[in-house]
Amino acid sequence: MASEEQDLSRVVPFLLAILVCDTGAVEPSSRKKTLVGIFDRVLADKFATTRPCTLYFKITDAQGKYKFKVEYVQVSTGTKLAEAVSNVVVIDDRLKVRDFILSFPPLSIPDAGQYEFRLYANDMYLGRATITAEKRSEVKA
Amino acid sequence: MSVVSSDVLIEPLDEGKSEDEPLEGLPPFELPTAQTWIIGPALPETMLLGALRDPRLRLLAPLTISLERENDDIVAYCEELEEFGFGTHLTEAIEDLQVTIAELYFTLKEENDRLSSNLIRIWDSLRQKIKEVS
Repeated sequence: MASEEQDLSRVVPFLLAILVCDTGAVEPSSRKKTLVGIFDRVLADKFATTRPCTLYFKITDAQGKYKFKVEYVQVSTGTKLAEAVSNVVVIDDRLKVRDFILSFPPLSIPDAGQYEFRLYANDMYLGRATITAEKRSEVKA
Repeated sequence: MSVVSSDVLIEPLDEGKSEDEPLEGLPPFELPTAQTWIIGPALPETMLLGALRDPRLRLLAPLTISLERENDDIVAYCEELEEFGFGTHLTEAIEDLQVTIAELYFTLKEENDRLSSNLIRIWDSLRQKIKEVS
């Protein structure tokens, strides 16, 4: 385990895209990805609630072994509500672009407000995607 | 990727339910209510910053950031560059620090020929870790 951690790259990947959607599919032969229902707002009648989410992100300028981590955080309280960690991914060419789909089970939304998916590569913070939860009755038509 | 979360404790969303606005004439769908589980604090003592949000600059190596809560604010401090970022939450503090570092880079670049010894050290550190993207 310690040696695996030591092997992880310190080359900082460049985040090209990160977004949240309902679901994502990978076409087996071409590995092309299809994203369905991209959103950044959740409407609910009552809180707390849950919502299944899929995170898509795309990076380049990476070389070596990486472990990607995504933290799902309620911004107002700073609490981490879920965390996902990848297996080690090997990227051998800095010029290559790699993209990933990560499907979460229904994620907790305890209250209205902002929620973030924070992306880390080998514990290096790369960026975030934000969703805003709103009470349906308080949303202006 | 594997997901490590308290997902098993959360009731799954019923099939067909959605938070989207309903079509005209249809009643709104409702998301299920659920309890919340906190799996940890989101404010670590330190973190590695792997990106500056300035399209002109790229980080070649991560910067170590220490994080502290000060009253209602979060303070992100980069010791090697002696720079702070402030915000009401972690991301705001990090983004403030990212802007500050980018500004520092261009300021020191411009004032390059008349820097004090301390600023020369910081400029060297910046040059080692940051690359300008043409």
